[in-house]
Amino acid sequence: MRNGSAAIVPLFFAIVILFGFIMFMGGASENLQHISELEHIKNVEKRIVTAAMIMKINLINANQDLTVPLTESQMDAIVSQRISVMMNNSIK
Amino acid sequence: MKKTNLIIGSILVLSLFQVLNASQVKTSFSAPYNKAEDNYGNITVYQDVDIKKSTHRIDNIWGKFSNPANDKTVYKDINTKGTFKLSIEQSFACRDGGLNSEGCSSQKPFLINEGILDNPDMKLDAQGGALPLGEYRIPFDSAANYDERNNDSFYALDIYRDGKFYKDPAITGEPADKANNFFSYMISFFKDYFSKDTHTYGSGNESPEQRDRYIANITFGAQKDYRLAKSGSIATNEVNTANSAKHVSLLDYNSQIVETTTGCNGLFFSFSPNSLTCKSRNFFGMSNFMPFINSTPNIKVKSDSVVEDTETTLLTLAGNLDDTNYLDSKTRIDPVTGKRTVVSEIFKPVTFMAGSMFRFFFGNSSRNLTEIVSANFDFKNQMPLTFIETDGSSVKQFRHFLLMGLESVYGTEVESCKVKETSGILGFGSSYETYTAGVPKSNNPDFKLSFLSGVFGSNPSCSDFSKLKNCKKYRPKFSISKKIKIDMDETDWLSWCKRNQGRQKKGLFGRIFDTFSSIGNFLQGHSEYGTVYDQQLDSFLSIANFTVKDYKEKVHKGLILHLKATNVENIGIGTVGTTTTYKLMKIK
Repeated sequence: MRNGSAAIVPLFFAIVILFGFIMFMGGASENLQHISELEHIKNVEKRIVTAAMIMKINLINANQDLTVPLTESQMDAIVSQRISVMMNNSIK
Repeated sequence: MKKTNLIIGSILVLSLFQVLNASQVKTSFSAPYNKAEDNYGNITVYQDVDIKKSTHRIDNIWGKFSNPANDKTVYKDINTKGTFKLSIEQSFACRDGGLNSEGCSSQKPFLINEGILDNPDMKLDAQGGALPLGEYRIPFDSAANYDERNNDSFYALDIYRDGKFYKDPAITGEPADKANNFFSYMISFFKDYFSKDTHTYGSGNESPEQRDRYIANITFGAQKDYRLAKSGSIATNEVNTANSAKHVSLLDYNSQIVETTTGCNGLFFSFSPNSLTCKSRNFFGMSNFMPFINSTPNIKVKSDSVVEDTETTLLTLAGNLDDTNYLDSKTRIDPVTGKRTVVSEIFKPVTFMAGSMFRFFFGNSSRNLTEIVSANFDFKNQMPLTFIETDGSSVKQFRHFLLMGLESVYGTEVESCKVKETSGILGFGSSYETYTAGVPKSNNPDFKLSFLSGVFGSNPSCSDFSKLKNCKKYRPKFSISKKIKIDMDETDWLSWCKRNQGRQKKGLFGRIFDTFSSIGNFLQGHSEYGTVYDQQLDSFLSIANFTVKDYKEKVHKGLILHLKATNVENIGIGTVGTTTTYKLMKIK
């Protein structure tokens, strides 16, 4: 038992390190997850502002053909509405 | 009472719900700011977009393996602000033409010299009246006449373009992707807005490289890579030498003027010989009116093909923008009678012309034209055109204009006249003399008037021809009849020929004005000595039995653009004829 008690120490250490490693990996995964979410948010932001700008430009261009042209605030409301739909439907 | 409370309550609840719903995503735009012109003549402006969303969920990856409801992150709100740089290019055909934005820009291949906008001649209309403030009529001039001091015309520029942005893929062998279909685009362009009778179109065998890229440069604006920057250099002493090292020169080509026997072949496109357009072109010299169409044998239209290409391309572009076939509307043919119905407005007399037009017609040794008319086109939507202003060696600035219309100008120049003198009562012993413009000739025949005096009653004397130069009456030796000697130079003969050529030999304008008698008098009274002189000369030569045997004149064709100056403030997103491109500069 006395001889054997010395032999268990490295094994014990190994187990501790393994557990530590597993904990570390788990934390990294959490971090990666967090980073991925932030990137996702960044992309979402980029996508929605670009989409809004394109919609606005297209609306301004199409506005000339209307018999009663839209006002700036009407166009902004249309863009806002469409962005809202876009975010609720396709981006979660 | 309870009922109304219920209604009011539900309205309140509903509207509260609406407010919450609407406030979930809120998008707002700032007003455009920092508007400026970039180094290449595009207008740039900044605009911010603000987007706010109250709650935003993101499903995370573990949600795929476990209960999705637990594995998601909920952000309380997204509050993002993006700043965009918008570039407004004064060109609209880019996307239609299948080119990506690299192939297009605001810069048109037109050059003007400094000071042109201060030139009072540019601010006058065709009758010499003042144009409204800010409007100009700027004529085209060829590269051969370029001088850095010419502040009265615009010139064509040769700006390099990559092959894929103007060449037909069939010619280059490059893969037929969308960016390469320039000519097929142009075919449909021309067919839709120019003539339904157009059945072939091509750049032609002799078509120089420079021509194809010139047309592409007008249509789409210069390619981004080869645009001229402010203070960039222009080789105004060179012609057709543009290269990929951003070398820009003046442009000139004339190889497209090819004589054709069918008369229905054009330079830019050809007409089917059986088409209505082709058959009816002799109605009043349609051939001379239609750009690129060569003329009938006795009238030659001398024209620079650069000016033809400029005119046709601009007309087509404007037609595209207005969704109107301008040539069609000006030359409509009545299907029943086969005659043109809406033609009265085609040709308008021009009584004022800037000197640059004469320079273009005759070179620097300018001579007077005998008649000038123009076919005017006024456009509904005013296409923006950005000209490059130079001091003769480098780009000084970009001038923004709106193309209000264009005038296709025709001016005639007398070439030669063969005169027949009938002697003897039965016309035996007739003799001929030919007078040519610019070739001095004053060996006038002795005019025998006494023989005819019996026929006409009185013996004409010099007092009847008081306006004619140096009238002498004498009786030569060995002759029983008195003769009159007057001085007539070749210009007298030619102007007499023009007035007395007879209908069947009338030139282009004779035919035009026979068709539109309301402005027929325009041709008369153009002699430098006045109408009385003309009348005396006419009656004198008529009594002396002279007739016109063969009369030739040349028709010159030019182009005047009717422009309205505009500035950066007037050009914005959505301005007619512009394309807006965007770039996300920063976020949040």
